[in-house]
Amino acid sequence: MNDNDRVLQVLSGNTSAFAYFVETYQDMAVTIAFRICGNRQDAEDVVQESYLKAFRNLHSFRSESKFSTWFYRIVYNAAVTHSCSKMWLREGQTGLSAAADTPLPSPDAELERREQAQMVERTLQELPKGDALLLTLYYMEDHSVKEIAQITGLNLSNVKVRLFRARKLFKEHLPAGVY
Amino acid sequence: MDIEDKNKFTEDEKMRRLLRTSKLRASENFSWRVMQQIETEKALTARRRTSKRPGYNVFTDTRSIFGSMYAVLLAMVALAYFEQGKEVLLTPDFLGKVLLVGVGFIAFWLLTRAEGRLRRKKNRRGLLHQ
Repeated sequence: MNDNDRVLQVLSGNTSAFAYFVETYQDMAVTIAFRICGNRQDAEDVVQESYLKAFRNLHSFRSESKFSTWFYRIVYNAAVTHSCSKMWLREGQTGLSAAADTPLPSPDAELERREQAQMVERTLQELPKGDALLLTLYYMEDHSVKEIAQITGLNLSNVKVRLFRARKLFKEHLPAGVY
Repeated sequence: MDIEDKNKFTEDEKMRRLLRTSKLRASENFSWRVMQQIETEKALTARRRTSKRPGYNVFTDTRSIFGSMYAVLLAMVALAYFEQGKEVLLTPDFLGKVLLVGVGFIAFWLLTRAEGRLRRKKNRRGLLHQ
């Protein structure tokens, strides 16, 4: 059964079928909201509100796009409204200072997975929110450039350019040895 | 795949592996909370819908009452015509009977409307006290 079939089930009155969408997409939705809001509690509140909005407006979902694209767009809009944050900086603005040169104690030491994850997370938090979000959408769930454009409201070429810059910025600011 | 593509593939794969380590997990009871909120809202919406005006439709009521009236009058006219001829149709006696039937149906229709209005008022009062 695909997502469209499940949407039809919910629309025909089977509310419990909506639980599938909650369980499948909650982690990524919270991650997206966290990238924008910057704090976990707010992120979960935003996602909870987004699920409610999605349920109320499920009749407006068009099966031409994926459910995840449609739903993440709701999450994105809700998170941006909630945090009133400026998502997209202009060219030349990064909001970052030069990357601190903090190499690992031993270049040969094997990183614990958790330490690596923390460093990646810290670097993402230092990036402009829009860049961190683009990297999250592109690499975590392999969303295409077209889907990212639908979620964020940016045009295709804008997404490509920003993604390229975000990748570069991320690599430059990741502590030495992690990449 | 040429070398440039292969390098890009490797770079992308590295990025993918790194970034996936930072994916958050929702709290343990998150999906339960969301479904609770949705089920509650659905229950409240259903209750609001059923407590709306009961299925009183003034048009079907009016149609059925006046429809019956015309049917009765037509039957009266037809009976009188075939039994006593068309002269009887214009006599005061017959016209009096037609008028009586008409007034009777109109009174019945007015009573139905008044009763429906009273019923709706009662239901609304009942909802306010819930």
